[in-house]
Amino acid sequence: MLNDIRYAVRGLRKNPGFTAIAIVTLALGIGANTAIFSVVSGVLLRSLPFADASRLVQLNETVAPFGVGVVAYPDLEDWRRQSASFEAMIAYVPETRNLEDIAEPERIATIAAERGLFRMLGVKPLAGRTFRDDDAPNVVVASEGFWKRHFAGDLSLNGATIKLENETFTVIGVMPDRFQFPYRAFRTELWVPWQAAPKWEHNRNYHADGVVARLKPGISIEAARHELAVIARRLEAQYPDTNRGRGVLITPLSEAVAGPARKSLLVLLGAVGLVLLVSCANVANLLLARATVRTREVAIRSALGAGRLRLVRQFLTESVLLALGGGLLAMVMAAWGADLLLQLAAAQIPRSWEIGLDWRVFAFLLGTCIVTGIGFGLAPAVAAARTDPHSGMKEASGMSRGRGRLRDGLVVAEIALAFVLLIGAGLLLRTFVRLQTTPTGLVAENVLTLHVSGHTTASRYHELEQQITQIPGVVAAGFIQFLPLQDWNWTSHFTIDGRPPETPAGQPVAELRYVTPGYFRAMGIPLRKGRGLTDHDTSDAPPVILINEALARRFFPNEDPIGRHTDRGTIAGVVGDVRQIGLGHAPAPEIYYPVAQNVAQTDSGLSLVVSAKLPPEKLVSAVRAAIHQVEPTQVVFNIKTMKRVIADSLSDVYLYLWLIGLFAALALVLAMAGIYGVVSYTASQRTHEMGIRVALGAAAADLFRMVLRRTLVLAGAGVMLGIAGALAVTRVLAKFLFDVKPTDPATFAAVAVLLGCVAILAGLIPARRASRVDAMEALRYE
Amino acid sequence: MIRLHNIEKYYEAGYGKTFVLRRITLEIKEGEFVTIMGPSGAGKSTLLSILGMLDGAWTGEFYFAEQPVHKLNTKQRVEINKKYIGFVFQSYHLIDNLTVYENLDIPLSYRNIKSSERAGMVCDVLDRFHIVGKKDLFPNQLSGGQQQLVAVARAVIANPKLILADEPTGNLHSAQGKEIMELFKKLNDEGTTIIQVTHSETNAQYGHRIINLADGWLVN
Repeated sequence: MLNDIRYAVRGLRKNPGFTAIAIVTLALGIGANTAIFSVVSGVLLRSLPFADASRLVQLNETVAPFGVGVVAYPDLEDWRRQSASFEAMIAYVPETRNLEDIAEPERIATIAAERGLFRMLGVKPLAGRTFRDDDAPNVVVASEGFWKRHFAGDLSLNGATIKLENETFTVIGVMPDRFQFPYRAFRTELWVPWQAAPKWEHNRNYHADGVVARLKPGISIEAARHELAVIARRLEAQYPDTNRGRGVLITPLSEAVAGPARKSLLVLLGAVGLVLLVSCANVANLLLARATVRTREVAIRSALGAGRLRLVRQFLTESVLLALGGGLLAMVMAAWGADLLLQLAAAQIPRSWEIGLDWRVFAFLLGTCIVTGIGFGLAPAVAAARTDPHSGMKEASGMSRGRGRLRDGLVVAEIALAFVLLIGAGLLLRTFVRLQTTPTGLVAENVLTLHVSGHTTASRYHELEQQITQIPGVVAAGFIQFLPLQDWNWTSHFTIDGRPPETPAGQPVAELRYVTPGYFRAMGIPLRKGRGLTDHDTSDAPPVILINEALARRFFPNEDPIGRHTDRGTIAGVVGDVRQIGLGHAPAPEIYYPVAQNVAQTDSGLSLVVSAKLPPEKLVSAVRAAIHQVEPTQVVFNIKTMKRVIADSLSDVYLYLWLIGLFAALALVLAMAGIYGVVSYTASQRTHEMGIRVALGAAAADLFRMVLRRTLVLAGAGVMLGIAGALAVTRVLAKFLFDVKPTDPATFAAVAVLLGCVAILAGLIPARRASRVDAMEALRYE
Repeated sequence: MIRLHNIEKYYEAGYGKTFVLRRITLEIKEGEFVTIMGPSGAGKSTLLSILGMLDGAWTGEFYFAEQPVHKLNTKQRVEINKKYIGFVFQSYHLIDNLTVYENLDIPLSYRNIKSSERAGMVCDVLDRFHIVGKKDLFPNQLSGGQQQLVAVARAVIANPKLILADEPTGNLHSAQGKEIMELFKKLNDEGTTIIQVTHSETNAQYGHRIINLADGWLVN
């Protein structure tokens, strides 16, 4: 074996060009795979960093017709009392709070959680302690990042305090950076103790709490699910008005965290796996060509007594060494690629801070090297070992018909794989273009958005709106509770006076938004009927609402909704539809409330929308100054243009388009190199034949066409195979597509044409070379 | 049919030129059977390549069927090759991965002949050369004599006015060689001009006259 390795190393060193090309080709494939696998491993395979994490579950309520949602606190209390399957159930509420008493107030992501949270998760602080049951409400546990930023990382806490929205909190502990709960797109920096506010404590209609729970040892999820279902039915009987049709959903916490990303990651892993196959096919082709050149060497070895197995082993040693060389380079590429991916897509990848190159990734890398080394080396090794010593020693070169077919087959496979990836990229590109051109219902040109921390009065919002409108260049300004296109919805039932009462499941449902009067003008949302909101719609005036066209169409198809009364207020006007949740979601029925009549609903702050005559970036400081002039303590954050907001809403599609496009481009380049290699090699093998053909009357154009025809035959076969493959696998992309079918004929046709052009391009040089063959030389060659 | 005047062919070598052919002036009439002889390296095959339009890098004047080849471009020379010339080589030069039938079809495929017409022509030639039974065999399934028979059949399939044969019996034993030479004689009798290169005095006797070459010069 050592001899095999020595010969292999010597052979590879003697052919630096071949070795370099093979190693780089493999490194591209293995590196891309390792980078994606490191993400898959960090997100899907690594267990959550909590004690006995497999017993942690997330609890949700299912409420018709809204589907899965968070939990109503009284229901949670009943589960706790009646269930025997859980060690603990902990409620928490994600919040953001203003950090004050510092130079520039900050908006901080916080979690208000019941005091047993850290104990139940089984995590230890980096310094200090976590919550105790007897802790006062004004203690806080900080993240390591927050602590470093604000207290220079001094781990002797010494009764350090911070001020959150006018309340002083004592920092009792610091959690290490690797700890994060709950998992969401951004990191939580502070945890504060929480208990249900009295007003919600008995309200079974108010679903606001995330719940994480720990199963007792030995209790299966199925058993707990069954028990909670029984309890839910009991509560349904006990509280029919609120709990009819209500169920409980138990999800393993690891699944709740990683589940939403699972399919996307597996699709990416599959896509990058195709790139690896293309790399392998390319290197196998190179090895086959090399094996042809080495026919004489193999024949001599056979004649000297080397058995087929021995020859196969020698060739495989060489291919595995190549793969390991590729693996070394791949490791660097993977580290770089994974870093780049996490920088670009931290928000889309859960647990992104836990992703890194660990033993699993190294094991994957090593395994991939060995498997690919054997995979791409086996066919050339067997082909070489089959060389007939007698003819092999007579012919210094020349490819057998079988080997030629194998090389053709590999190129066809490469083209087919590249086709599948290109179809994926093409479908995503079409989706992206469709989404970008989908009417949003609003005018994003020259619109600035930002978030203010809120906690102020209706009159102050009015004053802020007026103040900002005075800024030179500003056309209009207004507030809304949640900006459109945030992949966020808040739905609720409503009733229309005069309509017969319906079951909870059949009651009208609408999206709810709280706005100030200037919002619609600032966002360019047209008023279709009735009137808009005015400064007179205050808490002293009768409650009014605006509805969108979708609601009018759905619930007032043949009547004028203006003036109709609902339990949410009287309908004063109808405004245009806006794609609130995302560009891929059709506008849903929607109710706009005036903030002035519902200021209590703005506790989490409001988004300000400012439309201007000039580029919105130029207005930031003026707007910020105007806000602080009215409300010096307001924290201003999330400053973006509306165009950026729209672009961000497409970041998921863009990320997958970018990645699949990158893999497709890589596969296309490799396939192009493969086509070039095979056609060029075959043409050079046929030099003699070309000479004969010239002697028999072939013109340069005939030879050119002959070589190009062969290229197109290979490409055609690859495309046909690729179409079959793409039809089989592109449906996994359906989740990412919008208004485009996975079998979109236009995309298939465009990709086929693209591959045809690429094949022609790859075949041009060998064809041109063939057309210039010197017949005399070619005939003398034999 | 062929008039050569001061044809020269040389390669640049260092500071000088290495001549392969020197001031070749000769005339070959239609219907002649001419033999070119000379020692190895005399320029016989080169002269044959020039006559067959395979070699365009020479100087002098060359008229083929009254057309000034020296003034024609490559494409026009290929057209002359296609219209008038058939080749037979010492090593047969059949294409290994094509059957006998397909090998015979190649020259026709370069002459804008409809495929149905081509099929008829190939069948005629298979019949004429008594090789119908071999039509689906590959060259390596034939003997040397059979391969050269196919090569001659391929050379005549497009009805050339001129057959250029480069040592056509060089790889055959005497009986096979005689058979091929008889075939050339018959073709010549039917009106085809034949120019052969050979080392064999016996084969040379089949021709009307002999042209001797030595070191690139025509010698008497």
